[in-house]
Amino acid sequence: MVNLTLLIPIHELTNQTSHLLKGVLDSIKTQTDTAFKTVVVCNPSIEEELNSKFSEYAEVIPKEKDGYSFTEMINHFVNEICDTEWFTVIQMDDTFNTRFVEFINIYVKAYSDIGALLPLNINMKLNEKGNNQFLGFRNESAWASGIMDELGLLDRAGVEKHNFSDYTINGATFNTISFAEAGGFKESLKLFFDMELCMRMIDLGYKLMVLPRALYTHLNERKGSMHDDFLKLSKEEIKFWYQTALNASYEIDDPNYEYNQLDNNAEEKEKN
Amino acid sequence: MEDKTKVKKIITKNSLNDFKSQLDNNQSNHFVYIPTMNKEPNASVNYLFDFANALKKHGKNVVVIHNEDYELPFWVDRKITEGLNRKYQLDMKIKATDFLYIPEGLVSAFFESLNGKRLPCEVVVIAQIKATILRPLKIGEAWTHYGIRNVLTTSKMMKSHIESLFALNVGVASPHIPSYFDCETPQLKKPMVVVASRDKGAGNEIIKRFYLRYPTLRWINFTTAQGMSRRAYADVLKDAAVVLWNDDQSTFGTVPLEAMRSKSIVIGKYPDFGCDWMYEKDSDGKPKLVNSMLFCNTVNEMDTKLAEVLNNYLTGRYNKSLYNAMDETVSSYTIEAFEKAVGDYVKYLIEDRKSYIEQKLELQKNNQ
Repeated sequence: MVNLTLLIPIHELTNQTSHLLKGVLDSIKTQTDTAFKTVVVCNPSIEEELNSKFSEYAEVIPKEKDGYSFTEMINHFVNEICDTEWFTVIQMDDTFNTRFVEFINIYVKAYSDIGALLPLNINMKLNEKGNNQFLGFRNESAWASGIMDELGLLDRAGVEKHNFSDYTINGATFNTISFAEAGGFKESLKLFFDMELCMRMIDLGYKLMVLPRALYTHLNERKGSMHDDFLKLSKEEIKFWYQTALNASYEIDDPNYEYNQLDNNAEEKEKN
Repeated sequence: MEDKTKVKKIITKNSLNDFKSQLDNNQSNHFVYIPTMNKEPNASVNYLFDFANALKKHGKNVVVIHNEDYELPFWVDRKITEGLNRKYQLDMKIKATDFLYIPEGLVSAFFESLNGKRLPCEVVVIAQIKATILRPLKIGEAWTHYGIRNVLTTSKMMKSHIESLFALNVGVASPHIPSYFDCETPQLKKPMVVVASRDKGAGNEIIKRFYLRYPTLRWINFTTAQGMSRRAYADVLKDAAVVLWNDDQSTFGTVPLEAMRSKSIVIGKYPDFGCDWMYEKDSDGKPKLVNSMLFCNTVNEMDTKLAEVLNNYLTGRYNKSLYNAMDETVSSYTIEAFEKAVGDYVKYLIEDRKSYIEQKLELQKNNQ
């Protein structure tokens, strides 16, 4: 029985990024456990190209119009399309080990009461020579002693004490109902929307577990990625989104956060 | 000890027949002497209780005796001690058809405490720890000086070793690894390492070396799992991905066998004496080390091997041949095999005791 959807939200495809799909396609093709399906949610302008690459392995579902963000696509998928108990968020430029789905299926069966399962991420970047360089793990500190109340389960105090940005939902598997009940992503948050959701789910009583296997590889700081765009933001704006995300998790609804540069500069001056 | 424990000096044909009849009709008592236990869990004490329990299952009259008042420590498995009587030494009434089992390290001290009085029963040494066989004995002293003729030990290697020291009959009943060590879901094991090192300082050094050499793995948890009951320890092992084992004095290798039963990968320094199960024959019939654990020549290699094993664990690599070898190594150490070995040994003891008394009768006749 197929209980799991691998969801790949793709909002744009350029000449520079098109080749990256090969990695995720190869990962899908080589899974030891085939009890899953793959859905690509995309903006309509790139539907044809994606169909040519994914048709054998995934269902490509375009949105009604272009311009949807990463979080909007995921929320839309959960609210309108998803018919499996669990779904996993895969970034188009990431790759995963052949036993990735196998371990997800083992863990969600053994721990069926969890709200989300976050894998250890192997963080890589392309160095100056064009080679993949290992930067480190992410999510691993959930398994270090003394960080979380319970080994392997995220809690707010542990995440805030350690470092918000050490945690990621790249490759995370969510229980569909839990995700929807918790309100999904806050689409107005430009940054830290992933950790805001995680903190909100924790505060609502959902268990977020870190799968202690490094089966998911994330390419960090890729030129042209969403993350890369965000690094171009000012320090003040990044700080604004960080603080907003920390506080936003106490509410389910999205009040449409906006960064107003002038207002925030004035606030800073007043503080000083 | 009261005088009623003295052996009859004259053996008659009638008393021999009585003697044989008592042995055959299960009228012997089997006293298992278990020293007052430490607060810390002790595998050799567990073995003595297992032995007593196995005797009881074979329908023997078993009495577990101690040298003083005690309370059963928390870590002793109540399931294996249930129903065993525990009496103080002063209450013992021992007859010639009884058997008394003593741990190897207490032979000298026990007989010295008798102040020269002789016991009428057969005294059998249960030898588990190589280091405590010779140390308590004075130079030139041997177990045979106390009239001991039989020893039960835990491995063939120990049997060979004891036979090289004393002219005794040595039987083997290898300990069993209880089924509560079984791990049904090895895929759910946690990134946790159990360090089982007799030298605590050496164990800590392995951890320090590992963290310094492999800083990206500094989040891996180490535990010594000390001070636990065996069942609680089994629960820890079932979670642990790896066990590091460093015990030069080991003669049986309980720790790695328990780990294998729990499907934890064992990285261990080869002990000074070696253990029976560590060897198998290669295609030419020559002995070679088994593939069921990862052997190191020195402790200094263990952190590097650990990093390799953890790399495989983290990336989901499954070494089928290693797990098959682990299953095969541990498969013969079952409760059924242990109880059969104990049953066979006791049958031998009874027959041996009968023939010993017959020989005594013959000697007596020849001397008259």
